[in-house]
Amino acid sequence: MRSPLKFVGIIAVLLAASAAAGPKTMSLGQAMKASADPRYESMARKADVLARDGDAAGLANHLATMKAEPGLADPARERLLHDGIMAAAGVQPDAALENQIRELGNYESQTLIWTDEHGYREVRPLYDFTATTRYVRRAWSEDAARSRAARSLAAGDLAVVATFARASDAEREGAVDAVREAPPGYLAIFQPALMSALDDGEPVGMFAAAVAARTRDVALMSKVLAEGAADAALLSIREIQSPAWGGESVPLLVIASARDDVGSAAVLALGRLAATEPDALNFLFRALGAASGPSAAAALARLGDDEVIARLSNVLGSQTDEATRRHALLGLRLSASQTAAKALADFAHDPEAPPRLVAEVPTWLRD
Amino acid sequence: MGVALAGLPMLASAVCVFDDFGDIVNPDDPSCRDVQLTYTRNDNTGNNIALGFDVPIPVDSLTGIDGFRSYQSLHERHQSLDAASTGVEGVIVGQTAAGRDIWAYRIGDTNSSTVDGVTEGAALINGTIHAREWQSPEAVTEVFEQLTEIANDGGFGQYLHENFNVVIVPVLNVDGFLQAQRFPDRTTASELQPRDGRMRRKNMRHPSSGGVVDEDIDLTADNFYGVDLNRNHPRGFGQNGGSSNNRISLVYRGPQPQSESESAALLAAADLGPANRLRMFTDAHSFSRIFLAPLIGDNRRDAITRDLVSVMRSVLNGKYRYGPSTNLIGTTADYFASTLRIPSWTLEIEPLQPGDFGTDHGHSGFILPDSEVARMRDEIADMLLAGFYTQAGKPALRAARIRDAETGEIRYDAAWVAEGAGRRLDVGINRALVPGRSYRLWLGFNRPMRWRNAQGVLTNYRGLSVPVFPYIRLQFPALAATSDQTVSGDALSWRTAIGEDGVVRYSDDALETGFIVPASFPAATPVAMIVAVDARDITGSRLDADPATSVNWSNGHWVGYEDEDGSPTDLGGTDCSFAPFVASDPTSPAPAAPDGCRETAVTPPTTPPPSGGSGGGGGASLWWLPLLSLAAVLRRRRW
Repeated sequence: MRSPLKFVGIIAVLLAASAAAGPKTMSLGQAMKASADPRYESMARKADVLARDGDAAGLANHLATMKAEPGLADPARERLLHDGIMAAAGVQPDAALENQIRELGNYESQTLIWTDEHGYREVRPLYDFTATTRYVRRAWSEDAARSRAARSLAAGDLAVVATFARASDAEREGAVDAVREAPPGYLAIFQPALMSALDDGEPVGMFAAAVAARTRDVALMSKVLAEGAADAALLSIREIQSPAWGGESVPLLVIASARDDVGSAAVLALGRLAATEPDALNFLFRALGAASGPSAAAALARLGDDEVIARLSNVLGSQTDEATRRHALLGLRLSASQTAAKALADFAHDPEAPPRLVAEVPTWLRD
Repeated sequence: MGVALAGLPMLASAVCVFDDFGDIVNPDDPSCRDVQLTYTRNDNTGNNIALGFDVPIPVDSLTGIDGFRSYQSLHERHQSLDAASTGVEGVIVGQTAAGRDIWAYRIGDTNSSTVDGVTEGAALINGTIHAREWQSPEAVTEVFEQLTEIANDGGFGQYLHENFNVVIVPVLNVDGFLQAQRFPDRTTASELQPRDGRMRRKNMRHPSSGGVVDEDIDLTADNFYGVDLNRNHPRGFGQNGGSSNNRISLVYRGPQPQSESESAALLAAADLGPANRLRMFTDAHSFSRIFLAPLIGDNRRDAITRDLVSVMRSVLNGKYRYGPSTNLIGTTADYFASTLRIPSWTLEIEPLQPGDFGTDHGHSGFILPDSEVARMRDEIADMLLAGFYTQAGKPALRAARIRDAETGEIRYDAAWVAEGAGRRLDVGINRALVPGRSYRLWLGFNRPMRWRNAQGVLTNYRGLSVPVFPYIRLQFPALAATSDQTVSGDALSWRTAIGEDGVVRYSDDALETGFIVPASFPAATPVAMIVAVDARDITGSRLDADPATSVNWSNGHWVGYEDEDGSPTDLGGTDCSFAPFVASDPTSPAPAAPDGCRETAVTPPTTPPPSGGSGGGGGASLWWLPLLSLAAVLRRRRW
């Protein structure tokens, strides 16, 4: 019969071997010290040079070397690999680099660092190679799509619109970049296809928004603002506040203001124009009482001039519709001016004022 | 989030040096202090940091968008919700270090009693204590918006509105948040521990002057300063290694507990509950998808906390984790858990890991892509609303009625009515149920018991799983147990409208089903019957088995919440208070009512969410697996 002590010894040896072979957990400070290998600088510099030179094959080889370099502490190795992978994002890949990045995506971090969030300790890998390599592949996809789209735009190839609708998020980012970098003269030809695609509900909003912005195409921009996806509409709201859109800004923003998802952003954008655009100012007052009334009230409060405050006070005192009055009251509440405070105080002390509304006046103006 | 230590410096220019705790040891070194970093989508060269997605820029919009709103428009949104309804009370609860107003909003009806006449409970949510955690104000604003939107829905939302108060501080660290939004794509110092601008964590307190640091990110002399407002509270202040007395530390706790005006403002917000009625505290942070819950050694309170977190985690099928801790370090959650003995946690909103949506930059988890924000808001709101419902009260039967299915005649009608501080059972009608006849059983509860989707279809509240039909057992204590019968759910109907045998007050707070007293039933003499009801509400709470005492919250646990034995509990039990009878002669007088159930009728527990786990880097937590294998080998071996 074997001695149990022998098994205890075996267990201890196995556990020790297991611990030696497995990931190590340490503080970040310890990981930093462990990564300070004398070879780090030269190997990191080489990766930088290879990336800068666009040497995909060389970078692939260098990544393989760093992965296998004997005697390199895990934190140093992983730091080098991580930096090298990130650098690969800017390199036109060849098959070797693609393969190397794919393989590194499966690299299991051997260095874990602890975090101590609010007294609850847990560990995280020093580097997440899955996330990093995923990012690189996305960047490559984006770059490739940018190049393809640039060629299509230069060639006037209308199929680029349908391609965009089917593309991945990364590919769309690349294609939109290509539009932003293309001469406006290349782009007008795509307007009918984009209008049609938007009519059909195709997800080409970002493409159309970029084309409309580059060509100052009011009709296409109107379509994006009315029917494009929320992200495209939001981006376009920012775009059309530019002075380059001149007198078109207000009517375009009014189109966007009707939407549930981005309407408030459009109304607040109208507020920024209202100081100089009477149409915008009138729109905001007309919006009081409507669904966009709170946003209109906020926009008017941001203007903050006495004339606006006086008009809001008048609405509060004279209108009968409760929603309209509440929005006017909100506008006065949001205004930082003494004039607005006085208007609210006067309202609160008006015996004719409905208690339901007076209750919304700040208490320090009611007393 | 605390010291988010992940990732090593990748920039040759970044030479901040750290001690083992994570504090920078060379803050006056220009090569650390003056480093300016810029976030980009893809450019990782020089002092740029590629996120892998477009850098979110605050948008002016009162309503939620796919992205982050500016502080000003968030504030305007809160004010608009306040001005639109008497059910919202906005209060300035204090000022920041720079003198800006800090607002809190109490959402709920204007009285302080539930519809049952009990004092209403309350929850407090703190948002944006850490400036860079932009998920927080978006999430808590969504909660605010949803509470006001559903206040008149006739069901779940109206119940919360009429029976519970929610106090929300959307942005506590206003100065810091404005600073972070002022520089949405810039930060300073080190990629490993970025500090000012987008990555500011602390408030803007200058430790020497007592005033505030400047808002110019390029004036770097004071960029490291500020107090970590989530280390500034007395319970655990300066203890357990969770904070630092180093004024440049990311987790500098301040000169003394609650030294900061923002901390005082949070206490003032709690008073809106008021504080003695609070039953739940959430401090919304990001990131790492976890409820970090301090345990205080009060078994009942700690168990309630665990179970409540379990409910909320189940809403999202265990997407969020549970992180209990006994090490108090001066957080807001530590404070409310200890002083008020209420379920409290630091809710770290997504992502789970820094690289979930882009690059694996150690601090990129603080920056959620615009495209994820709307979904995140909805998920957090759904979780917290489930928590409010669970803490607003406990389910109880209020009334029962039995009609002859054919004639519609009421054969039994009883209800709990208020009497003094409690209730008594008022049995208005109690006529014999006759063997061989069919009956309709109507049961009225004190709260909405079931959830409907937007199309009005009964369904689970997201990931929560509650059987549509309660376990209803007709017991005859005077007979053998084999005489008892379970009421089938085949004819079940949850009520949604007022009317005969309709809702009590809220949609789905009443049900109707049918049963038959078998013709063979031995009822020559009147036989008392118990309607034993074991029902779970929307989030899985069982019934208060003794409605005579009102359920309330006190000193870290429920009171008046009994099981079927009448024992005080935090889990409830089976209601056995309604006692009709069966007799062959329909004119027979009622026998004496039995004393409670024959047996405990327990429904299976709801499925708990998946285990929390340790998140990323799970390898370290698996060290024991080889040991298990070895143990298995050793068990099989004989020697």
